[in-house]
Amino acid sequence: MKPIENFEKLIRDLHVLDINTSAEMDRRILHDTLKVQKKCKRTKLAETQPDIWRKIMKSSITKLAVAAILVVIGLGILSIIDTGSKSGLVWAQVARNVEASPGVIWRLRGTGSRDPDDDWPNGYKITWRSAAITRTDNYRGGQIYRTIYLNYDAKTVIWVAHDAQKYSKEAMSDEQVQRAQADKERWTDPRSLLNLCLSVEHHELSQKIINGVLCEGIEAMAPGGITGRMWIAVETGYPVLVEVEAIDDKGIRHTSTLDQFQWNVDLLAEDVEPEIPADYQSLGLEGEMKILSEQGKKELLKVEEILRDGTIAWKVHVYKYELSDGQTKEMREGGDGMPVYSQDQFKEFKPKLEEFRQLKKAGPGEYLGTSEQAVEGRVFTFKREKYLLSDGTEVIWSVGTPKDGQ
Amino acid sequence: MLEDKVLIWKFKYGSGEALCRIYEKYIKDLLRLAAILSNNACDAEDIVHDVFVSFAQSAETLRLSGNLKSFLLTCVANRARNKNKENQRWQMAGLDEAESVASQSKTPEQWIIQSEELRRWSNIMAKLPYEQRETVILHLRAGMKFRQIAQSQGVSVNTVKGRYRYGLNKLRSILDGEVEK
Repeated sequence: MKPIENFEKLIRDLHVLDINTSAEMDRRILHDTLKVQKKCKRTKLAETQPDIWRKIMKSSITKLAVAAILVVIGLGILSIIDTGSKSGLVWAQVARNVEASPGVIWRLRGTGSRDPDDDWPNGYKITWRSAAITRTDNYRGGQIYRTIYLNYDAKTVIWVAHDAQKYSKEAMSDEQVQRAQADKERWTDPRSLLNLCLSVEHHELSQKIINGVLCEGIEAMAPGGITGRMWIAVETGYPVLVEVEAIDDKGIRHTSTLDQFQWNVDLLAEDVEPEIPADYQSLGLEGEMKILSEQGKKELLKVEEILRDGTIAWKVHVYKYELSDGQTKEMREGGDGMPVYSQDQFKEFKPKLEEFRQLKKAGPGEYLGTSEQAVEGRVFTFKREKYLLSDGTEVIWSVGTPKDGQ
Repeated sequence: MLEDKVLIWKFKYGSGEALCRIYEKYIKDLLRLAAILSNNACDAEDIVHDVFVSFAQSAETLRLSGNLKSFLLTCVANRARNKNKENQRWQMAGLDEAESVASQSKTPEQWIIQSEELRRWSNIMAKLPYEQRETVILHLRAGMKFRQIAQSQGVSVNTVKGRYRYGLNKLRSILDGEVEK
């Protein structure tokens, strides 16, 4: 008998265990998976959500309370919530100050049981936020290692991994923008926390000096064992410190602290957008191409079309992109009129497509001449060939190239 | 690892591209594991299909403490275990009924292109009790630690080590027996 170590190595190194998926299987799984993903609309940008808020979200009673606050704000009757204070600090005015601030910057720190890959306990996050942008810089050991920048107007998201010198730029769909904005308004914003504190049972705390500033505070007990404390500078009427605590099901205490606030700042997108050093490598050329595509910054090089019994069965546009790193890249994209196939329809079409491809590979079809046609504002010359499949299906293959710049 | 972090981040943000990339990146590993654990190509495809569909549903709640590959492999192992139990129930329900179910399933060749060697290995592995098979494969082929396997199987690390030892010895006897033939 062979030693056990040899046997372990034999199994470990078994390259004979190769396996491949069929195109059919890939299509089936990806189709179902992407369909499910599309249905799940409540996906979130988790990196921007501290655990404590996820905890708050878990409490259905709190959800109701917050929903109620949002309604109250929506109706513009927040002014009815006015606890007053000994020094004359009007909490409704604080809420109005916070609402009126065009931009705010703050630091977030947290403790608790966290993802071991996360930055706890040494990290913190600095967030810049206005109606148009959110930028979050993640720090560990005093060094920035991650930046996430969302521009809701430009519908772009930039992700920078400083520790790996890589970045990604992508376009956001309208749905993604809406989702990001909804998350921002609800759970990752000191404004929401202030409103939460004011809406639930709360009491005043005695005055306290924080970093040389006289502050007044309130402590709110939200349902689900969540405690929030908010300290407001008496002089300015803006929050200077927010502390939230919660105990999870396992009895572990989680805390989040928001401090180092800068209120009433104008945050222009061009000032806040992260600068990407020249030596950083792009992770998602596709992402940049998507942005360029939406901006119309691409050149149509070729149009390929398959007509099956006189109807468009396949249409591809080949575009050229010039990327920010100086590279040019060609991308094949579905052209206007490209039909959307269901799984069954494609199953029916695929053998014909394969047969046509084999015929084309074997040699040119019957030449049908050329014609000119404007595509996306440019005149293309189309060369057409006809192929006849074994079942009598007539396929016309058409390739168009720009008339002016071949 | 970094690419996985980016993919997860994008996936949680609703990116279909990221989901496709995760699929492309790990499908073979997952399918190989599922095929060996289930010794049935149809089941293997179903297992991997279900794992990906569940994964797609989990975007909001997903919070990975380890790496993505281990997570997905564990999901496949869990599904395969359930599938195995399900199949055992079918067998207990009676051969006719089981055959009727089998006849409705797809032809394996239609979906997965696996080598003859893989089939041979799957057949050899199928001679092990399921728990031993899972332990040996998760440890040697999926690179999972005994602690991780114990967590996944809901048993102690010592039990896992025992299953591994027994499984490996039995496999060795099977293979030595094959050579002697």
